[in-house]
Amino acid sequence: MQSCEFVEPMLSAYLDGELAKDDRDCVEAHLEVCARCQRLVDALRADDHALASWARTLAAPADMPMRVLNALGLSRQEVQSRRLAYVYFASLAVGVALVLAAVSLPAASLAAILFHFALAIIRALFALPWSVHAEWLVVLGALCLVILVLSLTFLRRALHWTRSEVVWR
Amino acid sequence: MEQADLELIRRARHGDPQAIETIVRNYQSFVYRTAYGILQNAADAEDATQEAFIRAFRSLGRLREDRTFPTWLARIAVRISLDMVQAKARRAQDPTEEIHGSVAGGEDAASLRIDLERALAKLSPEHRTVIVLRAFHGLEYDEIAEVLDIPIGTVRSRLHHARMQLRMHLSGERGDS
Ligand SMILES: [Zn+2]
Repeated sequence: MQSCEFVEPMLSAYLDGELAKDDRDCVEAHLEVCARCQRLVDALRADDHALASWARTLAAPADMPMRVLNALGLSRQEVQSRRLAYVYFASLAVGVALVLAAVSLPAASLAAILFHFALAIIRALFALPWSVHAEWLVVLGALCLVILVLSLTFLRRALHWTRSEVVWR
Repeated sequence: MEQADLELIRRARHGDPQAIETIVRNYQSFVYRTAYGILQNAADAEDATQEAFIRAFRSLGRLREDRTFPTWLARIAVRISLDMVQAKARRAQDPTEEIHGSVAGGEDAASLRIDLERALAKLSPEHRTVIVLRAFHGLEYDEIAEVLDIPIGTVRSRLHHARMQLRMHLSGERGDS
């Protein structure tokens, strides 16, 4: 028969069913004959039940999900303003690339193209769209239109994200 | 964890507000009770709960195994609560004062609860933590070991000492033995 001092440190694990079989048998044999340790086990078990039923009365505030969403919403908005910036830079890059591509299409030098372009605009301004450079105006006009439509589409989408964020909050 | 829970975590990782809301609803009692058990007051427990979820969702990308989400969340909640206990202890000498002042005696169930709360408040934060994980939530020793990042043998001995301390304080409060 083991002493109380030997058995006592095992009672907590015994309650939790975390003892190996040998230790469990040892504890059970002791509890059969020791009323003091049996009382302690009963008291520890009662404490656990009291703690568990107390815990069940503890409830988080009902608005906790909203609080968390609100707090996270700030960081989400940061992400969205970054997205907005990405969209603008991407649009800008696409626009610049398109213009450069258009400008470098003819084998002529950039300066010559720009000169022709300026000349075309001036001539157009003087109501000469039927001149030899009129097709340049049409191409560039269409190009500008494409860039404008792309920018507006992305901008609308970005604004939509931000708006849904506000509604969501 | 069930498939639906794993799916929720995947959606939350992509910032889906509905998934985040559902996860908070599913785990808020678990987190709040853990925080309350350690911090021993409702206002701090609410702050800790909110902070635990925010930290969890912000670092969800670093969670490698989605199945370990509950353990991982418990670890965050425990860490935040213990940090808050330390911060409070630095500010005030007696953090249990408000508990003693705020509760009135009364019926048996209520007074038992008050006794429990007082006795628990007298334990060290580490002892309170193991008691909370085991008695509040019924976590197994290996799960507690994982949450607290300590060996199972330490869980076992710490739980033993915590329970004996709690028992001692409770006998003192109620005058039995
Ligand atoms: Zn004995």
